[in-house]
Amino acid sequence: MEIDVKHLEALAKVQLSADEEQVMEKDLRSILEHVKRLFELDVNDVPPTFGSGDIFGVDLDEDIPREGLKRDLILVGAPSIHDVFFKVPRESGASRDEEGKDRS
Amino acid sequence: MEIWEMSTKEILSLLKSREITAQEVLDSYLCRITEVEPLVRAYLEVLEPEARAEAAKVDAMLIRGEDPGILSGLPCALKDNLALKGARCTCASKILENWVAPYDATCVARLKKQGAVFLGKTNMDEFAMGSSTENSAFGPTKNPWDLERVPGGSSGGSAAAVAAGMAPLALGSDTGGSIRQPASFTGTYGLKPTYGLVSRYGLVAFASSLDQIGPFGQSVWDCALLLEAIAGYDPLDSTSSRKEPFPYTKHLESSLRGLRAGVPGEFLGFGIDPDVREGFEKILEILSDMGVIVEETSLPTLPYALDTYYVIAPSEASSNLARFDGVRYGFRASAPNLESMYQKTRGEGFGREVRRRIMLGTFALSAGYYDAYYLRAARIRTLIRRDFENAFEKFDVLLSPTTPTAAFKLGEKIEDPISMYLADVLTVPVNLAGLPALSMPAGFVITGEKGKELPWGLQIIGKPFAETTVLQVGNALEQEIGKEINDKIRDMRRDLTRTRECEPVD
Amino acid sequence: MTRHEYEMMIGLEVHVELLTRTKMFCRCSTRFGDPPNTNVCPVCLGLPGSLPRPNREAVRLAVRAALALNCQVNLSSRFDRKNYFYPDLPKGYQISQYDEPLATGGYIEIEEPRKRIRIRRLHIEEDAGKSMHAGDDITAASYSLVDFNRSGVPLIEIVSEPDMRSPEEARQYLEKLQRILQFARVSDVKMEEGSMRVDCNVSVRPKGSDVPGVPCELKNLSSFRAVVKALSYEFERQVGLLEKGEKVVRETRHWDESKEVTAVLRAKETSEDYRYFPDPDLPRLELSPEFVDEVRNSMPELPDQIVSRYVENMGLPRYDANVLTSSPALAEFFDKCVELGAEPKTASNWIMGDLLGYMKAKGIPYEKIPLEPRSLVEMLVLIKDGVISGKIAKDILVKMIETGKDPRTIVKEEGLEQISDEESLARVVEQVIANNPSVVEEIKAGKEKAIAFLVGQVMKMTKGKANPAKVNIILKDKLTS
Repeated sequence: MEIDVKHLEALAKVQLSADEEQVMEKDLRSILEHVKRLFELDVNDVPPTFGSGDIFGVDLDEDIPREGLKRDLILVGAPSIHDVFFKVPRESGASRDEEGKDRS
Repeated sequence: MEIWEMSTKEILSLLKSREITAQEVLDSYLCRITEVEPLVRAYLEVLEPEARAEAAKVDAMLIRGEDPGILSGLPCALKDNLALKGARCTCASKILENWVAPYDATCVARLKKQGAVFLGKTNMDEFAMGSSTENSAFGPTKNPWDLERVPGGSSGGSAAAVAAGMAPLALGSDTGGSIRQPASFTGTYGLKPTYGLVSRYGLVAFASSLDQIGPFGQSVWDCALLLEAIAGYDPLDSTSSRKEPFPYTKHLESSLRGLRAGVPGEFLGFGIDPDVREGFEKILEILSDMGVIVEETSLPTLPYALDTYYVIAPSEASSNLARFDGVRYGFRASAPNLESMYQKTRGEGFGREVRRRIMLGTFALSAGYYDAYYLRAARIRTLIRRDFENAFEKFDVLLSPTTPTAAFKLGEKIEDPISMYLADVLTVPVNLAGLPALSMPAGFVITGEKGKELPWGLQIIGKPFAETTVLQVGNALEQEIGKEINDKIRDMRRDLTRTRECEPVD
Repeated sequence: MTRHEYEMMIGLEVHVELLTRTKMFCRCSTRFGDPPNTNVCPVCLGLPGSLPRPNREAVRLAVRAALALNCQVNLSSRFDRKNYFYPDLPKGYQISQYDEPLATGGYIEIEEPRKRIRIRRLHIEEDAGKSMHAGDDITAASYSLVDFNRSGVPLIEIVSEPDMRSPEEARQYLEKLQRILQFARVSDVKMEEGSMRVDCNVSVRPKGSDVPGVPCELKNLSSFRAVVKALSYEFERQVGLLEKGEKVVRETRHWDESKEVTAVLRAKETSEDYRYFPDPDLPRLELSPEFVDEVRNSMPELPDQIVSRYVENMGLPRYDANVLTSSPALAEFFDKCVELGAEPKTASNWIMGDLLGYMKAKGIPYEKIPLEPRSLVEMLVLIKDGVISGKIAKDILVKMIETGKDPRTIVKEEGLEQISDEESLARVVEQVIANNPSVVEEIKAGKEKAIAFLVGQVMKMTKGKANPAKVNIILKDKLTS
């Protein structure tokens, strides 16, 4: 079983230290080993269940505007703002591989 | 007797007859919290000023002769993954440490309407991921029965608060057992409703297709009361059912004669503690004596439920938790560019178990693995549902212990995720099938070293939307065995007070 | 081989914002241009605990678009999550439809060459917010600013088969698509305002080959012109590579408007594994046949139907019909004129000539026609009745637009009635004859063409109001008597 922890970190945007990566790989490996029992069952003809509900067909709401949240209320909890905008650092032009090298 | 020592039903009737005020009730609980919270650590935040204002409002209504709703000033604790407008909602995570919810969850709004007074937000495993409440970024909650043991999880704070007498009622959420397992560990009553009966709007999602909000109480009646207040269709949750909820408290009394109860053999194969097993057999005898037809049955795919759950729940979680990105709210790590801001924020903001599940779910959904893991698990989920459907053609309820063992020790399983996951082996199948299930204290086991008694829970599983049947069975059994249990709870609470007096903490 | 021996295969992915009042999964307003971060709520901000609630009108409009594009509407479809991180994507995933879209298998017909471009699928999704990068270009900015007003606005994505063989065909496809969606009242479909966004998939292969080439995806196309230019550039680039014996690399390329080249902004990232899975917050989208029938029955008249009505029922030239159906507002204007009694071809001439000429000169868009159909029709009546001349009418049209007055008022206020009464005309004619003895001599000597000069003089003296036909008759009469 190939578990590429670095690839998963990049997909999930979760940075781990080298030590954490090792533990993570070990943990994932043992969980997936346990989960392997699912391969015992032949389920190709069984339809999947994606939800638990008894709902047939999602309810559709009428197209009538309603009051949302006051801007001050949402900006006050933001990690960083500029004027009336949420502020985030820019994208870097560097590729992911280069970024990886910077990691401690 | 202090108010906090009374049953919820007694308190409510004294409130309605205006022999005591909501403020007196609140004071009693705040006092109790001051007394034992330093030992138990059930709360992340006690909302004293807000609660006082709410209690005063209810009292004013009672004086004016207005109906403050079915809860009429009863205090209630909320798991910290439920949005209460103006209060912090941290999900016991660093990433949401200072997030103040700007809106009410639907269940919270409904409790407000019924006159509930919110005592505070309770501790939990971070984002409801865990079975011990040790995965809280703000420290673990202790089991009031033995402070060296876990209260279970993830709703450990709510369960411990009710068990310790720090709240008569509490709400939790249950994705794979997060209400029932801590209820079992703390000797409280906890109900996971049918998927869709209670709106999830305002519950911070862990695994959307499995999550349900449900009540904790000191009796079956408490659970029925709290469920009555929160159940019912909510247009804000597209998965909420249009089925009419029931006045559950009014239909609790019922003879169990002729009721058919199935005991799935597979449930008893999961390394059940012999003492729990023995206690369970005894309960089956009591039920038989009450006229219940108890039969063993088989749900062949049940042994696959835990693995199925540990594919589906992390998959959904990996997507549900993507919104914690440091952009709009919550914690943000400082970083020179966007990519590293994301990676560091999420790497530092989430705890170990959450990161583990995000990675596991990301793996199960990723290109090349989706069919083998996520899709396969979704197909097996169908088989598990069908197994339950077949069983419910023959039986009105299914019975099992809620957990294989009584509460384990703090730190005992935290380093071994799989042994921790096994704590949910008896509860997880119910979530996969979307069924209602109650955990009620059904007996005690004696632990080795100190000879302390620890409660274990009975799990009563019902057909979809058959909460009434589940509660009736629980209520009838409670009439039979509840007195002994309540006596032990009283002793435990007194022990706790004494411990506090002897060993002042912090 | 030369470039003439290669052919392009172009497939287009078009995103279109639907004309709803509220967003796809919450009831925040979709109004364009409101102050930043004011049309937001827990749902479209992706706050913890919020859940999506689909918009019926958005579903109706998406079904209408599907029917207008000849698609098969799937009565049962599903919402999926497309997982990726971007600051303006609040939940860390976009709700879209992946393997069970709302509609499949449609087509659009283009004119030159006359052919069908197949549509593979049409699905519903939600828009993201808007990131603005401080500083002019993305590499210079140190931070980005995010506004979530657009977050959650309903979109449909329309994916064509790679059936287009030239940039020109792609342009026709887009124009036709735009017109159909405008007439169906599904969307504004404006590329400038971002309510229509186009990505291209383009590959080249030797003519006659049935193996598709390696496709590149083109992004950042902000106008039809950019689409055509980028595609042409990409054709040359890819043929160039193949001619050199090199391979085309599958990648996403951005159109650089100022340099007029396509370029790779970044190599393909691992993050392009979107981990689609069914959204557990949303039950399936189940539509009743009645719902679809109702949408079908309330479908506005589409451009092809209108063109054939104009050509077959009104006898307009195909060219006119096409021009008049370049926007719903224009076709509505024309229809109203005809309804009010205008002769179709005459109305068409005035609309296509003077009215559109004026609007074009002033940069007025089609949907803001600055004239009431009634005014134009009244003016046509005045011409027909001989009250004003066609020449004066051209001025009156402009005055109607600029003053908003009706033509009769303008004619009256400015004394622009055509002078047809013979006594008045005779007086002017006599004066002109008196003023131009030499010309009169020439005419009498047989140079009849010089009459035109005298007519011109009469028109000049009457400021164009004289009825030229009558002036001619009176002049001839006076000169021969």
